[in-house]
Amino acid sequence: MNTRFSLKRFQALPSLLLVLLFVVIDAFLIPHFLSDAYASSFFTSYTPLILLTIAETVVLIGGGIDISIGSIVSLVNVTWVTLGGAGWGFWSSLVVSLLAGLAIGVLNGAVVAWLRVSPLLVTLATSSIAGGLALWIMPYPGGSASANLVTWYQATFAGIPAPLLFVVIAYLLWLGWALTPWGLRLFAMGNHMHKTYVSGVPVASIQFATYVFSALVAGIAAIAVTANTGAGDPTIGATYTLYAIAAAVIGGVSLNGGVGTAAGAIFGSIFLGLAFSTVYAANMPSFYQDLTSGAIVLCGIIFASLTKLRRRRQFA
Amino acid sequence: MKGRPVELNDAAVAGAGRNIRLRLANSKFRIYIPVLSASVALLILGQILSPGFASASNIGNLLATAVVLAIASFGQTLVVISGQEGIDLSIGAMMSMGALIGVQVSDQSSLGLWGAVLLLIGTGALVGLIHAVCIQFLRIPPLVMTLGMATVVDGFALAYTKGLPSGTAPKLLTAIGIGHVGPIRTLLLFGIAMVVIGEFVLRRTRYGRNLYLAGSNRMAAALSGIHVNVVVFVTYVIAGIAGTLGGLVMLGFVGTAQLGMGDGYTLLSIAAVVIGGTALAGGEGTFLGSALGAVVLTILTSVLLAVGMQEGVRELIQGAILLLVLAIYSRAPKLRQ
Repeated sequence: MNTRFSLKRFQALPSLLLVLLFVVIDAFLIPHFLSDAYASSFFTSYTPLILLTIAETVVLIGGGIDISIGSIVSLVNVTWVTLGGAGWGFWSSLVVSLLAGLAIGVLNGAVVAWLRVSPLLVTLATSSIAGGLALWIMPYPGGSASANLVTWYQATFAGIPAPLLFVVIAYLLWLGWALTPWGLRLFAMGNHMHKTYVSGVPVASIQFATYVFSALVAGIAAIAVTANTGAGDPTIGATYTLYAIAAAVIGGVSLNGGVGTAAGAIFGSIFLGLAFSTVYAANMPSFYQDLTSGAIVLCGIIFASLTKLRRRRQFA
Repeated sequence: MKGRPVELNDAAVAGAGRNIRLRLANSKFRIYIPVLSASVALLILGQILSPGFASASNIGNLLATAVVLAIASFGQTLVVISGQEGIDLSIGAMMSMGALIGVQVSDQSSLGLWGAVLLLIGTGALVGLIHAVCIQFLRIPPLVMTLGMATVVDGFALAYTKGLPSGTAPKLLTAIGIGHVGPIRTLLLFGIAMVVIGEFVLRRTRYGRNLYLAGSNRMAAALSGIHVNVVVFVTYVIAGIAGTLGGLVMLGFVGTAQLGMGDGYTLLSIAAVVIGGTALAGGEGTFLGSALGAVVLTILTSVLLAVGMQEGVRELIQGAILLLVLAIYSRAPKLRQ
């Protein structure tokens, strides 16, 4: 137990160092970087990414991958805004839209776990299903979210930005899984599916649960996205998928399964957020920003794989 | 001890060979039956829903449209056959970039069309090379690598055009894209030639054979003296070049270039490859199958369009069909075995 814990810390360390490095760089580059206001605006923008990285991490630890989380965010976002516009109450519309997102997760999990189809292709197909649904419900960006929600989301309580509440919820959800025996079974399954199956662990059910979990957390991320933009947009989630996978990889999560922590996921996504903030702060023309952010993400993935290669060689 | 059994074996092999060849011809044909019958069924459905759908000229249009998708599936087929979870999620972005650079270079610089072609071959090869290095040596899964590269390529296209693509397609490209040779669409002839050449490369060249071997078992291929790295490098480089040049063909077909115009082809090319019977585990698959998969998907999209379905619904149905095909054809064996 003790060695497992120290190893866990070690995994998140490189991403933590990257975060600290960029905090120091940005403290010099970006005016008022160390102020409460900047922290609050940072977390309003990047809380969705942090949540989606946690969602992706759980699936990756289980040896799968979920590339439908971005589309789930879009689906929940447009459903919520559309139902709100149709006169539904705040909570009833929220519950229905979260259930819509969960339905995609249930579909993912059922097809991957019990029909045994490659998770990559299943979630690719379901991302088209969820994205298509979102586009069907709301063909063009529009509508508006509850004004109270938007105001609350931007507030700070005792210096703590409100969006962090979502991160805490997601982290507690993860701890609720990881600290029970089911956490150990999840890691075991990610390490070696067949051996875990032979040991009598119901691997199909755990696989199913990872996709449902990721859809649930993606739904929470959609709440944060909606509160941040205050409107509905059928393609708002599309770019998040890659960033979430990249952030997880940078945070020390293995794409081969069995290795990773939620803390690493959080640091990895905060690092990406800081890197993007630096790009925006550099005042470059807008049409260069996509290229630069894309290059940073790719370099982050390559850097993470290089450190992993080195680690593997040390063990070999 | 050695003499007689060999003779016996020879006779047995000769007899079995004829049998196997017969059976192979049979099974090869059988693979395409669902795809072909689905195409015919969709054509009939389209004809019922909107008369004139199955007319000769519309079928020509459908096949020409399918050729663009078949080109996108060309690189995808190779990458999937190469195995080790090979997949290329950058194809759509590469095609968009090919069209954008193609139109800008051939229209507004002294390089002309052929200069643009050379430039695009170089760019495609470079991207393929980066893919191969990162996948083969840094052990980054192809999915993540190509997805990451797709955003870089899209970002590059945005930066290159400064968000405002301009110019029209060169005459030669439009001649390929929408012209006719006699009564037949030039693009269709182009597509047939591509499938024939592709099948020849897969079946009759050393690269093709090595690709199948490396795809079905990397370790065994390496142990039997195949340079697996070379095979993988060539595969991703061809896929990159096919992506950018496919963008040029798409440019000729559409007439103008837009940002992100090829993005939809990523998902569709994977669907075409899966429907065409290429095993996602690698080591198996044909261009002909992918091309037929492209035909089915194109007819399906046209039927949905003819009924007047919105983009969202079409995307939804495409996703659902891919899921269905996967659930039928690509299930892994039970853990119990």
